[in-house]
Amino acid sequence: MIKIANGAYTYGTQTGFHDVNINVNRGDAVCIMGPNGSGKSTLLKTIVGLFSLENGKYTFNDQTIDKKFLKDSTKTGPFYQKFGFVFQNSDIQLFNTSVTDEIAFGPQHLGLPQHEIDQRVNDCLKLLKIERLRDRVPYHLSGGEQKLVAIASVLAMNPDIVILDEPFNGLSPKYRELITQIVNQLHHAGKTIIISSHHFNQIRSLVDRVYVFSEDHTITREITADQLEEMPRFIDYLDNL
Amino acid sequence: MVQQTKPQINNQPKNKPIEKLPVWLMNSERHQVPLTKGRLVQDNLSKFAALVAFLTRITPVYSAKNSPWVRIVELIGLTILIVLSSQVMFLWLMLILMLVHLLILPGSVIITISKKLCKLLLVSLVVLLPSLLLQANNIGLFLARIALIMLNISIFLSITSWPQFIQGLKQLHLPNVIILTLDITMKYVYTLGVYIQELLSSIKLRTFGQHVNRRVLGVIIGQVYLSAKKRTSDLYQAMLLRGYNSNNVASWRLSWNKYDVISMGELLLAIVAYCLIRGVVA
Repeated sequence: MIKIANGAYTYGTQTGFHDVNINVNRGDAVCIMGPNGSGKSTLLKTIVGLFSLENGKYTFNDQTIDKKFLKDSTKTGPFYQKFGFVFQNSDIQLFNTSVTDEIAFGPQHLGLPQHEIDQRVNDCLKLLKIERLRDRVPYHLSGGEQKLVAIASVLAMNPDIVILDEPFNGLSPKYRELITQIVNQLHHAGKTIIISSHHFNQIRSLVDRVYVFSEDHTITREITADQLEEMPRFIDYLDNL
Repeated sequence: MVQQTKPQINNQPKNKPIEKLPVWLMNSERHQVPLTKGRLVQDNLSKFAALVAFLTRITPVYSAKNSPWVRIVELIGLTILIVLSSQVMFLWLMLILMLVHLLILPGSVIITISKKLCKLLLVSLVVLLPSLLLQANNIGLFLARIALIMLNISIFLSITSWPQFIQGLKQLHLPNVIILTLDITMKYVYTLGVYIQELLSSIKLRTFGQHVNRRVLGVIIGQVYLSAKKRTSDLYQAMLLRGYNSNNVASWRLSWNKYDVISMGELLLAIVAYCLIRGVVA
């Protein structure tokens, strides 16, 4: 479904990532790990179509995703609809005047009828256990609460592929566990999960495959869940990245 | 210490019953995005991306070997001479000098500069159209000056990064408050640029790249204002805690190398040429 071959992206003169090869199939749960600044977030933003590769090829369901494709809003509509992306800094993602409006924003642009939007908002508030925040202004929430609202606002769009960039940052262990459970359930429901996290032990039971970035801005290892079972030292290494 | 316990990977059954997820979230989305045309978010995203890319550029497109302060002096000096000159001969000389400077830059930069110049000249022409219609004199000279000044600035920006510019100002011993204000302003612009870029990216994804109601713009401006205010006060408090006071003195010294001498020589020649041509014509 998602295939990047020899992908490279640079920010002006700074390397985002280079020579990256990944392959994510429908229903996979994939983790992307690596040191800070190694290119994980840039890769995730490339997958959702915020950046286009400068070298290499990105195909989504056999459709090449390049600059030309991303400029055509009639083509990108169905493409963006497939993805739900939770940014690393959730405060950036929230701009509405209440939590309810924030969660309803995506479904409104999907063109859903009002009763269905209300249903989704209520379900998401309940799922993330943030019903008490319903009428609060997102800007005034704590970092952890903002993260939960950001995840709720993405889930309300019912994406096929859920991409979470450092979802556990700023969350208490209780909420980390909640997010883990929700991601697990989404995976079991057939959603594709791509997650970048420094808390590998938190998600290791979820993922089918791990891609490891090196400090050289490229993926140096691809390890399946079965292989990981035999590599306790490597798991320890991943958890300390 | 290495953990020796065998990790449990994917030990949960894949067909575990889903209890908490709502039904609609367990199925694929039935609704198709209504497709509309609108590039408001995309256009703004591109602009902020360009701004952020410029501000994050630590190393310039071309690494000039002369000192930053010499580049600043040469930029200001040549600009003043171009503005003061009304002699076509002198402007031709300046053009030759700029073209020599332009030759050292990579082809892609030359193309970008050329495009910018063309756009600028077109805008200037439109602005000056009433003057042209009223048959005013020296429009050509005016446009030539604008083109030369813009070319000069474009070359300077291509060979000088923002940190180098600040370093140059320090070497020229400008008041520390001015340098600090400029430096912090640019850092704010960068931070806010990144913030707005991410915010627009988020809106783009959640509107599926389709038309965005212009009312959202008001929300964005409000959000950016709040964020800017918070970041400003946070930064100032952090500066105070780290012992900042406005009496700190910059300790940069003027440095000279042979390339600085060449640059200064160019400026000197330009001044001499200006005086000579002016004297001859007079």
